[in-house]
Amino acid sequence: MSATTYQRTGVAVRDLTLGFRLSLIWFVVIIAIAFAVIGAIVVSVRDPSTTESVWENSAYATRYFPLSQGIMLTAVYLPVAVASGLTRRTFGYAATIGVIGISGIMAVFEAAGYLVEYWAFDLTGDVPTYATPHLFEHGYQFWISVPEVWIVVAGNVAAGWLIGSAYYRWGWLGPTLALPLLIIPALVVEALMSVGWAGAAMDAMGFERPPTWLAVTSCLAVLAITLSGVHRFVRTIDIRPQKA
Amino acid sequence: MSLGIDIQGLTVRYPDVTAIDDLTLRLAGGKIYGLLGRNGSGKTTLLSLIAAYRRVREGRVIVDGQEPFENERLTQQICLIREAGDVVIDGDSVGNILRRARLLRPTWDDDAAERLLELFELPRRRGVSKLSRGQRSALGITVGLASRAPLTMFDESYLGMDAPSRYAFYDALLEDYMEHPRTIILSTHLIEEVARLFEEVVIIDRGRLVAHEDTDTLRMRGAAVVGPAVAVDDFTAGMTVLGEQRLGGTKSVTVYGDIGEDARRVATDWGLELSPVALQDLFVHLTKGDHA
Repeated sequence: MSATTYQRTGVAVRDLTLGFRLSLIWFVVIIAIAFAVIGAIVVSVRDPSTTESVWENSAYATRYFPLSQGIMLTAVYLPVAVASGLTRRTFGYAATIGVIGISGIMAVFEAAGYLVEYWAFDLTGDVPTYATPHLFEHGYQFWISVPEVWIVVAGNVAAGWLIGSAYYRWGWLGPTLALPLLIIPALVVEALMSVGWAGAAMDAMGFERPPTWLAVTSCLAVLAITLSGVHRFVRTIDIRPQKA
Repeated sequence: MSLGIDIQGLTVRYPDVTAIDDLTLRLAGGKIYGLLGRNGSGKTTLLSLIAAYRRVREGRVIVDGQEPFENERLTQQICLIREAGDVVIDGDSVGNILRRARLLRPTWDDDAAERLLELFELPRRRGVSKLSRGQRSALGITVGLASRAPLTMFDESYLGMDAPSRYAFYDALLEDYMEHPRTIILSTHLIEEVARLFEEVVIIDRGRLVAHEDTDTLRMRGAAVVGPAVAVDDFTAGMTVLGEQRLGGTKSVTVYGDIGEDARRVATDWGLELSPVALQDLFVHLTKGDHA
């Protein structure tokens, strides 16, 4: 990477951060409040002997909202980036950092939720239990929950970026037909990690999760291949004329 | 600083049409060019290739000695404002769009942007989706001018702007160009409005180069002959007539073709007045034909 590309990537990342900042802040605030309210209601009406985690259900939101952000990356930001004098290569680097950054924020948010929930249960002498498999056993183990969520969400956002780029490049028909293929990176990461709903599904199908070290390194490899593949792909995309 | 452009054998084929057909063109840096062509003549495609919005697949586009596609050094020095405003994201505010341009354009001028916001009465905090069509165009023009890119191109960027705003744009562009000379290309259909700005004119039709000359030379390719109707008719007999108007006994005929010194002397003797032809008349003549 040349010094100019490095400098321009930094500027582009700053611009992307400013662009995504508001929507991410709103998402975090809304989900936190929603689950605090839901949690309070559940606690007030639940059978005292049940200790099922409420926060665990937030995993759907923290996966699929960033997925939608990934889908929009190329369609919304590539034309603006190129029109603002960035190369596609620089956009690709910035978007890659964006994918990792967005999923990192979600991982910290999710882990913080597990931690708060653990403390809340601890106040009544209980320990939250989880309905689906995870790499961690207890909510306070943020050093495990952060990478778990980070990797899974990154797989989803990267797949979203691939899907959005394919739609921008080829229109709706081809990518819609190819959707099962385009979603593969997310499914592979989910299957290898075998956590959350995917872990439950793998359990139900009788598959055993690979050893954690193998799951994590394989997922990182899948992520690296996906991100570098999309990066190469976006470098070939022509900017479409926008409708006036 | 300004950038020159060298286009060699450029061809762009779409599935149903050839948008650019073996185009060769050289534009020196530091001038204002008018890029004229009918709808579908390939103007936007050409500008998009120069600005690296699209990859060149046949032929070459060279800007300042290098190909611009994926060229980090060049792309930050090239600014193309298309009619729909690629620099504008619907959910953004005016202020955010200027903030992005300030970040990404190394030659950005904040003071110029402020002056243009004021000139076009653009509210900084308003969302882009709440701007009128003309205001969105004015925002694109603000970004284009304040970017101070050594190669700045406007492609029908005035869409929806009222006449006072368009004239304000032309004045602002000229003033800015005088203070900060650079290469500017204006693609437009409002030829007579903008003609005074052009130092050179490029006319393309169906992707092919029809004319590339400095504006005065091009306008001298024809003449408007004004005088007594009978004398005008006699003088223009056998010439290619582009248009004519009559008011009482006075007639004005626009003709295409060289008028030599001898003919000019005859015209003076006959009491006829010869003036350069209007660019728009020439353009219509040079590009008329079977267009679908």
